[in-house]
Amino acid sequence: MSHPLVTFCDVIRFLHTSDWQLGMTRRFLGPEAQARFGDARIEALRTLGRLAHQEGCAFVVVAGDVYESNHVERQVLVRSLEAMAATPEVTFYLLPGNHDPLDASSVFRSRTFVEHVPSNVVVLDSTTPRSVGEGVELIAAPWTSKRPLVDLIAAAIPADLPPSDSTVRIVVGHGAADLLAPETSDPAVIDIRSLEARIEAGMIHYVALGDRHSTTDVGSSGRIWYSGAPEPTDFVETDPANALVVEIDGPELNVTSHRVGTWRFLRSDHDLTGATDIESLSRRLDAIDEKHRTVLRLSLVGQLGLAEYARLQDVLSHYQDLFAAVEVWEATSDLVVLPADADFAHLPLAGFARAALDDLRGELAQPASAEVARDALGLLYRLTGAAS
Amino acid sequence: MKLHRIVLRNYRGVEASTVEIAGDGVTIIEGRNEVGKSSLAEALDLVLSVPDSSKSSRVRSVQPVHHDVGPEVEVDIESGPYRFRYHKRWLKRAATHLEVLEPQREQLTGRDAHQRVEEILAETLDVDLFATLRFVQGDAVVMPTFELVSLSRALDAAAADDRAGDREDALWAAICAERGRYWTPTGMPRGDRADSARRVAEAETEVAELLESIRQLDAEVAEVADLDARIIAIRAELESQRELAEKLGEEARVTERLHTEVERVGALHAAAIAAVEQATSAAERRQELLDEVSEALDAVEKYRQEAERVAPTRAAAEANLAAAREAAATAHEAWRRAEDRHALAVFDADLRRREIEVEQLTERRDRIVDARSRLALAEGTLAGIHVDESAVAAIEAAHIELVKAEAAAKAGAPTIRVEAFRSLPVEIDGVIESLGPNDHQEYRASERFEVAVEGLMRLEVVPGDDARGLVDRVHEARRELQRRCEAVSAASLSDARALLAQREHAQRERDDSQAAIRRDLRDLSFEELSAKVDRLHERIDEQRRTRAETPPLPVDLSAAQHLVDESNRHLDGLAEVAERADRRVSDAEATQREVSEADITSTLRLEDATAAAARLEDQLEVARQTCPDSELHERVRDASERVAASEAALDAARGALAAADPASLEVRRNNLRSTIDRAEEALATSTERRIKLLTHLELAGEQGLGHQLGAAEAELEHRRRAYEQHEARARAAERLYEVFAARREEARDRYSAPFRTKIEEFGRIVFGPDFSVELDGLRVRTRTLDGVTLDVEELSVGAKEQLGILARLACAVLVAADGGAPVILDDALGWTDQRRLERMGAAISLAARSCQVIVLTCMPSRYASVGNATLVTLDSPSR
Repeated sequence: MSHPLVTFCDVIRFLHTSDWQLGMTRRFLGPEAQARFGDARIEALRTLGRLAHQEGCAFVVVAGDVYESNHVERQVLVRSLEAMAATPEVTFYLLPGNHDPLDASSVFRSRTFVEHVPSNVVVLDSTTPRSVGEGVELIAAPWTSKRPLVDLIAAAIPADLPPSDSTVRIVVGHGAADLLAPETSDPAVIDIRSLEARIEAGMIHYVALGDRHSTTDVGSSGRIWYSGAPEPTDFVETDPANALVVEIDGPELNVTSHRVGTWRFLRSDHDLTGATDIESLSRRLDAIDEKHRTVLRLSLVGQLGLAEYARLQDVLSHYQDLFAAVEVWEATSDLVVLPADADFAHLPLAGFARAALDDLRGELAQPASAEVARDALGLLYRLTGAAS
Repeated sequence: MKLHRIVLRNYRGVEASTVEIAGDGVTIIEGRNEVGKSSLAEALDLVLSVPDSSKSSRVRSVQPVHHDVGPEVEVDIESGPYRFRYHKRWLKRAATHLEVLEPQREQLTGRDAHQRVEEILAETLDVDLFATLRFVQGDAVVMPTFELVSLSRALDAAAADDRAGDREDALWAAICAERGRYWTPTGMPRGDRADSARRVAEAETEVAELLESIRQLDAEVAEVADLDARIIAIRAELESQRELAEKLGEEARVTERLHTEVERVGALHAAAIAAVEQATSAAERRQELLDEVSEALDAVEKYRQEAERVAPTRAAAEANLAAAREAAATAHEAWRRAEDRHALAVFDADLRRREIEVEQLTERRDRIVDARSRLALAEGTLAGIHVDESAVAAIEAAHIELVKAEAAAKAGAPTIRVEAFRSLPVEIDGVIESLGPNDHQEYRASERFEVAVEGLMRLEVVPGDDARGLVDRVHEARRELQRRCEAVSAASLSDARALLAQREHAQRERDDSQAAIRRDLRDLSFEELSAKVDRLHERIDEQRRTRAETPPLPVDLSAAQHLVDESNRHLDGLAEVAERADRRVSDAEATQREVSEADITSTLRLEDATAAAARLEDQLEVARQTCPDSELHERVRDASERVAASEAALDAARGALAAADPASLEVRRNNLRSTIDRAEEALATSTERRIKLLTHLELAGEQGLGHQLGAAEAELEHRRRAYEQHEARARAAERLYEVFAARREEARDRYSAPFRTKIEEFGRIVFGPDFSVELDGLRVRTRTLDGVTLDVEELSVGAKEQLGILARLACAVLVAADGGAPVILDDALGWTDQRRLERMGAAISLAARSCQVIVLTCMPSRYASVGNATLVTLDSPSR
């Protein structure tokens, strides 16, 4: 595959991104939101191309996990290639990661990919140092299986690589860094100290990493970075939705993070002890902009009466329609629903109905029956509302 | 509500009838069936519910037949605070008139009146109660429910503060409806829940299948990686194996050259061996020739000595033979002479035998000649006699027949007695007879008979026809006899008999002669016999003529035979002597032949041996000229030395080949070839498998399974969440329903208690103290009596009727305080026996203290025991 070699003058600028994981689905998204989420992640590629162009980046390195898996849908594949082709002046160097390793089922070798890959897209399918312009080499450490048994980056960098002032060597790798995962027993974990030693020795000049979805400067050299994913994918990510513009000017290196993502995954914790808290929650949710591209996970703790609980359900239902998704995270929620006297105050039940109500309220105290009793009282509340 | 009076006019068959009804207690309205007592209840319904303008079938059916008048009903009713009189007429001059007396007087007519009454009733009367409290015969089979507004109100009043109302009822209905969204009436989950669960299961299956597919793909990916490693390893292995193959090939070529050298030296060695064998063979042949010459000379000597030994024995044998032959000739001569004598003896004996034979034959011939002359004589006699036994028998028969006929003719013919007194000639039938005195002759006049005395008289007797027939018969018999005698040339019967005797004699003679001839001829003819005699004579003559005079012919056959035997014995003795002499001759001949042959053989052998020895000596001479004996031995020695040299060379070459170990080398090469083949096969298999897997992976990759899995997991999540929420709602609905149902049931039990108590109060009057009932809501469900509980549907018709009435009374009593409605018993208690009637009467009477009871009956006796009853008898129809 031919692509224009870029001639560098003094300053080398390129865009570092990773973990596109195109084709990813999120189970908490409904079909409509899922479709928009997928579209946004394809669109992010165009944004990256434009950003690279605007920033004068000669190329883009994608440090692994371009696709969610090797079994990605054809539609995703061709759309992603189309999106990269939108900026032909920018070459995208794609590194196979743990999600899309260069194994026998590799998406990069699939017929669809091979037939439709544009000229400005190059797969880093070998550890052989690749010249991407005068004085610039990429040393790639592609994943060839899902479970490598060695530090692929360490293996990719030739041991006898001489220090160089004339050639900028950019290492492109993917995986967990030992500094960030000290407990891991993964044999493939990336040895950061070793990389720093080579940087120090002038053998390599920048390490573009992928795997971590949050933008992260690893180690102390300032030259080893996780770019983070261009669009967020989970609530645990601390700083996603960025891409890094890397500028190397001789011994100087400048890394600038640019926000490219349009979606947000937000977590929100709330104490709910009464109607006031529910209204407060409602106001806070209302204040969030770009709701349709925001996935919200709520942790709700507290105690509510039936009426309050019903109100809460109404509020959540309302915002579930507005947001891409709103889910109450059971693991971190502890919401107790206890029918208050006030719940049925507007409807003084008599006779057998009163006795039955009292029975159900009594059942709330018994753990085995509490949940059903709570639901039954909620239903009663709703029915009395209907009956009143 | 209470009914105080009802007036009918022109109503069915009633022209006019007024019934006053007691406000409290029991009013028994008695009337025959045709009077229309049941019409009262019907009329009450009509007046209260049907507008006067109605021309419905209900109205038309109550119009009197054949009277063009409108039916009318008027009632006086107390209901709640109201007391009113209400009158209606339908069809003809339709009219409605209402006069409200209390609490405020009102007068209304027409539609207003009708509407006003409806308002009053709606306000004060539970219409369902009014209908329920009416018991019509036949209702007994159905126990009504008492879920009536008025009864509920009464029970609610009794339940005081713990009283559910419309709100609770509506809530209960909502709970039931909510439950019905998830559960069927029988408590089974609704189909949509199963559908939802199935959708979850389907999504789970899809996820599992996708996971499995991806797992398989991952496995295939791993397998490809393994195959890649394997292919590399196999190729490396192949490389080293091929190198080894090349090395072993070179070794094999060296070995091949060593092998060729062995073959070459081996061939030289073989040639040397052949040369030794050839030289040795030539030497051996020379020695054999020498031996043969020596043997031949020995043989010549041996045969020469033998010939010398055989020659004298040959002469002796020939002399012996001559002597034997002489002796044999002598013996044979003696035998020949004896034989001549024997032949003469035999000749003589033969001659004597022939003589005897010719004598015997001649006697036979003479006897035959004699017999032949007698035969001729007999045959001549037989030729002259024609009589035989049958002819004699026939003549005898004819003779007898004649005798019989004559006897008959004599008997049948007149007897003519001619008696002469004197002698005179009398011509009788032409024959002159001379009769002497007193001579007489008698005749039978069977024919015409004539007696004449010449000249004196002639007497003619003519017999009658009968006598003539008899005479004819005699004639006929005589002619027959004569004819038969003539046939055999006999004169008479006796003659014939004599002839027959002659004939028989001649026959015996002939037979005897013939027998004698046959006996003597035997198998010969006479001519042959004669010839034989002649020939024998000739032979005998010939023998006598040829025989010498001496010795003399033996006197007879016996003597001759004796000579034969004697000469025969002598001949036998001489024959033995001759045979012995012959055997001696043949023995001597054999000996002579043997000796002669031995002599010839030895001579020939000697000649042959001499010739052979000469030939061999010639051959030896020729061979020695070609190659002397000494040279032959030298050749053998030289060749043997060359073999020893070539053998050493061959051993050296073989040693070199063995050192190269070609067998092991070949085994290794073969093994290596197999190894390479196997490795190549494994490489091909692995490569093929790899291509197959890659192809499959490529195809699978196009399916986007990862994306499908994500979508399927999301779908599963949504379905599961929806399902769980739905199930939670179902559980909540079910729990709500359960709790409410339990409480409601409990409340209903409590609530219906006064009704049950009241029914049991009345029931115990009728059935005794053990009577109790269970209610299902406000419906009697079971009756327990004397410890036996039965569903009301299982009760007898009578018991069900009684219980139905008692339940109505109980209801009526409970609702009476709030106005209530009259209990109307229309032709009831038809199924109840007298004892129960009395008790039912007591119960009705008790109830009637609190409510109005109206009894319509054609048998007031059923209600005789109702204590506080007012009896009203309906008038008979006026027409």
